[in-house]
Amino acid sequence: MPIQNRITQVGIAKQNAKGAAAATAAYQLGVNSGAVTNAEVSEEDLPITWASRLIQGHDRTAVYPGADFETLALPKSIGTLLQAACGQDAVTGSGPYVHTFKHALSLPYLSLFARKDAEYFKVSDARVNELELSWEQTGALRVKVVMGGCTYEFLGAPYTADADERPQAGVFKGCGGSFTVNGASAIVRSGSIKVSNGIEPIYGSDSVLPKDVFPQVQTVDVSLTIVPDNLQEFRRTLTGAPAGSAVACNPTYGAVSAQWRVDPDTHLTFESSRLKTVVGFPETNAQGGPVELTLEGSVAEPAASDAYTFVLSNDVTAAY
Amino acid sequence: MRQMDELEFPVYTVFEDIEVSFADRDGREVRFSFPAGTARPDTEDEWFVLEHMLAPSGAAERVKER
Repeated sequence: MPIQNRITQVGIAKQNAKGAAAATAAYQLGVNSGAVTNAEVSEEDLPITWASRLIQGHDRTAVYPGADFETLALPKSIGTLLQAACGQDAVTGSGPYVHTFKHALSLPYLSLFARKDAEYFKVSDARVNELELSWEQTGALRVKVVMGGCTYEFLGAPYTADADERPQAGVFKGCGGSFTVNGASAIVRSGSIKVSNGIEPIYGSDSVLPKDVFPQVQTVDVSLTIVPDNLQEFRRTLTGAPAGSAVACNPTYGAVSAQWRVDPDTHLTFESSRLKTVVGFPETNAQGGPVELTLEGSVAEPAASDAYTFVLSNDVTAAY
Repeated sequence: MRQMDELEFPVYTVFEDIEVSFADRDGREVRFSFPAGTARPDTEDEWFVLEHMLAPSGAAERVKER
């Protein structure tokens, strides 16, 4: 009997340390698309000759366990993913609890549990390589996660999840939230925010699996499609000022914020006060209609404040 | 880890009870909790959290005059 693709679940849990895989998933989620676990195999042709033109064999050089899937950003589990992608969580408040996620030098390890129909898998000692939030108007906020890990297991029995998180409890939506560009409200039709950690697997000579997965530079890229009242944002990015006239020698930085809500106590806000932005001149559409601008930005570290923050308000009491 | 008798750390004001979670360079989970009020770091790690994690976002502020 074929396996049912509709039965696909993923569990995530933060590890206390590398080599200390979680026994159970902290949260179990459904997914929209992608591979809930994977193992990228690198194999090469053996270069040796013989008395034919045929390949004489192959050489397996590496196996990189990981995952690459998209799901919905859900009120509790998104915190685990944000902390794994950004590096730190600071929690304040007494209900709702306010979690602030931002850059840290190191990243925690995760254990990832996966189900495909009646088969179960586990990747551990994993780190988040990329986390991308994306949305279209008021549609549910989506999160795409790419992870790389060090171990891959075929589980003989279903894993246990401490909590199932499903959309019945609410999903983050732009409706009721707010979107600003350089401090002013803007009509934002869609957008994405991507945190990349450049996770690099470290291989040794005694195993095809990575010894570790190590972060490189962290980049945060923002893309917003806005419907502006004028082309000042195009002018500002070129000249440095909304009414500037001379093309500037240096990049232009700006600020953006975006907030999605489930309810008044449950919301997620992204903010960056130092976003290098570039705006292309809008394409002409002979059909007419409102002009859209796509603002492409990359976060840089300010001298004395946070480069970016994700602030999550929910009912999770402790820091992730 | 250097202790207070070797280094004298600045004093901070922490504005709300706060718990911080992050991973050290080996990926081990580290947690610090600071109650609202005056925070006197005893270790370099506590100072690092106050100075580089909490102060930039305004959750803590270095006391200017000691």
